[in-house]
Amino acid sequence: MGEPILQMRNITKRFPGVLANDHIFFDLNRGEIHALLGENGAGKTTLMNIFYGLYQPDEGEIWLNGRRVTIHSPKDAIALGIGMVHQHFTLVPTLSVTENVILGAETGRFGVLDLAQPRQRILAIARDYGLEVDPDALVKDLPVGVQQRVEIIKALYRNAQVLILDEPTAVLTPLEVERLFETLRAMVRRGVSIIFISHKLKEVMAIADRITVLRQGRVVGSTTPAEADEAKLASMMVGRPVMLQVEKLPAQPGEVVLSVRDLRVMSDRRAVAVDGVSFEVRAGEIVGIAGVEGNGQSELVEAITGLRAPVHGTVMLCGQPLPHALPRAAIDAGMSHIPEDRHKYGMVAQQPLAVNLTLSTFHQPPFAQRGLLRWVTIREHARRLIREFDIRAPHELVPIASLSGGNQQKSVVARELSRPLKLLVAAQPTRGVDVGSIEFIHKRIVQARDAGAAVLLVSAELDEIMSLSDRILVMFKGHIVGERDARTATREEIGLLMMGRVKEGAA
Amino acid sequence: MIESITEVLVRIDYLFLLATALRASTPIVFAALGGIFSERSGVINIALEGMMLTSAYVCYKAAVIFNSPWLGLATGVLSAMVLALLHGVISIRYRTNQVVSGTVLNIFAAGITGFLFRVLGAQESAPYLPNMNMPLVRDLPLLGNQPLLTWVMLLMIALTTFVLFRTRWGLRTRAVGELPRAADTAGVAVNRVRYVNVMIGGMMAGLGGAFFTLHTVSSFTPLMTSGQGFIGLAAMIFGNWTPLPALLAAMLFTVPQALAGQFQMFGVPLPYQLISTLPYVLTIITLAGVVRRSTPPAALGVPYVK
Repeated sequence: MGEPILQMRNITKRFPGVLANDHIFFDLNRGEIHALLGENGAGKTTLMNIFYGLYQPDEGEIWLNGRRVTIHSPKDAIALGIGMVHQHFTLVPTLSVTENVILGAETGRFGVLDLAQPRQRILAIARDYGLEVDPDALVKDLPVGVQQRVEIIKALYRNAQVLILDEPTAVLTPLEVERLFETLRAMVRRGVSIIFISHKLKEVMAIADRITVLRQGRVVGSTTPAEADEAKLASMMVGRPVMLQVEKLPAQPGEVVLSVRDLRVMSDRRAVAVDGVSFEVRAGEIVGIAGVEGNGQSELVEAITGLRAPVHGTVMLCGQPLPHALPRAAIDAGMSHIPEDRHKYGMVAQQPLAVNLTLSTFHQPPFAQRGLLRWVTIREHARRLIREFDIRAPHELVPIASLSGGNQQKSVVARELSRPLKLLVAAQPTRGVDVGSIEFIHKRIVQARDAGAAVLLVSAELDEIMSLSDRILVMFKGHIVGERDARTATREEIGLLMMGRVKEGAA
Repeated sequence: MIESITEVLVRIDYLFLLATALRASTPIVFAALGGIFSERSGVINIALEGMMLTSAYVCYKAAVIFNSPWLGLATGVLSAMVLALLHGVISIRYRTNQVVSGTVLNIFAAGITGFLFRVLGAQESAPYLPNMNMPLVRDLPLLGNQPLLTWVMLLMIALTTFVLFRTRWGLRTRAVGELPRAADTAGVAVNRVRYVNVMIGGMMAGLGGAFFTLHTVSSFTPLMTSGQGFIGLAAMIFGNWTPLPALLAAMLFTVPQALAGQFQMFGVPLPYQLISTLPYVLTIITLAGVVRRSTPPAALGVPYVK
């Protein structure tokens, strides 16, 4: 720890209609991990993209090692010793690890590639920082956790002195997060300074030396893990006190509502994604499916909701088998679905909010009669939901695309919870949503449970699974590898199951 | 009729057949190589046909004017590269749909060469490029006495493979065609890589065009490239955007063609029109079976916007 290596002074960046960064001051000391905390859209990534040369600031100065610098491109940034691990990886899937690492920094005479020497250096970096990776593997064959290591190696290979990590834990299991933190500490010991961008309070508290909070493009304040606690950080992020714990009474499970028997589902790539899965969800309970993304959860949800035909097995709702691949049959039988990707399955972006709020029932009375839409009813219904679910929109006829992510998601939740339902399938219900809206959506899901609905919750966020579920199933490589009671389960235990380490007998 | 076909099949000189097919593959492979450079960097290039046609005309005319096949060749290749630059500007700088740009350039090339042919005529014959018929070389199996450009084609296959997979330029080209953002954040100038590769593609098409007027016949006729640029693209796809497999794919087309020629020579009583459809039918069948399994560069046809 010591003198500042980086100072960003008075940085301002405007996009059409948005002030993304509003006179931001940010500094980083040598050998320090400085967390940049804020909700989606608070301006964290914009600020770092300016530092990495992807954007030019409208105002402000960047000082690096006591010199004022202008960074026009990532090339400049790399030359200045800045590395960045983007949230969406910038690795070429069809190239090998070595090829990806050296891309743009190739060595060799007369333009002929030298792969042998870089390969040795990659192995050395991997050893020094605990970043195990096969330098000859193709990136497309690697799991995301390993791909992230490749991204970090890429920065270290270029001798990065300052490393920016943008939401690095989003794709990792709890154990992988622990391992990443060890790597970061090893880097700090060797004099690398790190900017850690996140919206996850726990992780920021665990790894950061200093924390700076952004809200709506402005610095709200700086603190340290010793001085702050999670509740304080959350209220700094949101601008008001936030309930972090979901308040709910013990579940009172009733009749079996959803029964999945021996379900086998193929992925788009024609691989077996769900392999003989069976489980039940009862009325009045929330069953959470934990697991690292890509272990078959998406395909499972699609099979249950009728978006994808399973190759084997049955889905029963209240004792009646559902026909395969008929979403409307599922809706008519009383199923609601908050899809994992609202842009793809949850809304029609350019259509008015009012239309989006009736998407699954617009063809029935009272919204339609004799094949004609009844606009007055549709708009009244929309205005009611806007009030009830606190959707921030100027009026019900604006395109839903013009709302913020959190309000779009609240609209989807409002639509799905506003009709009589027996089963709610909620997949990543709070993805890309601000802390305030998360709190609200969680509350409504618990309310649906208490009103007697069965709830199947699928989430990659372990915290969400732990706090919302009554019963937890863990999915790994298409199988359910464990079931735990949410009241007694520990994070560590679930985390191990998510890695496929089965130690039965604990339940 | 069956007997006469079997009789012919016995009497054919297969080495000669292969040599004929190799020679006929020359422009197809040049187009395929041009396509490989362009598309590996992410730019669809269906204008190769037009570039070949333009080069064929310019090679002819320039060879006559300068009375030198070499200057003809250079001028023709240059003309194809000018068209390629145009395709680059339209699709990289102005981000127009690349298929539209290619189509327009093809129509333009057909029109302008046809027009110039009518206005300026093409009576005189152009000086030829040499065949590889020096002593020793002359007697090589398959390769002996082949057109110079067929040798150049084979050399370019080796060179393209090396550049693509063993050089810095090749690595950057592949990265830019798969995930341009990755290349950009690693400090590679995406659009510059694309421009240069489209231009190299034009150069290849130019060499292919020269084959028509400086080797096969020594004059120009309108539309004389007769879709070989498109067959080159098919060979590129069939060969999964790699050079040597693209040659084999081209042979799949030219071997039946050569066979059809032999049938005709030996007077097999099949209508000529029917025999000459053979290569096209075979191309369609193989492509239909193969295209599903080939994987184009992921960023193909997508202009890069930061």
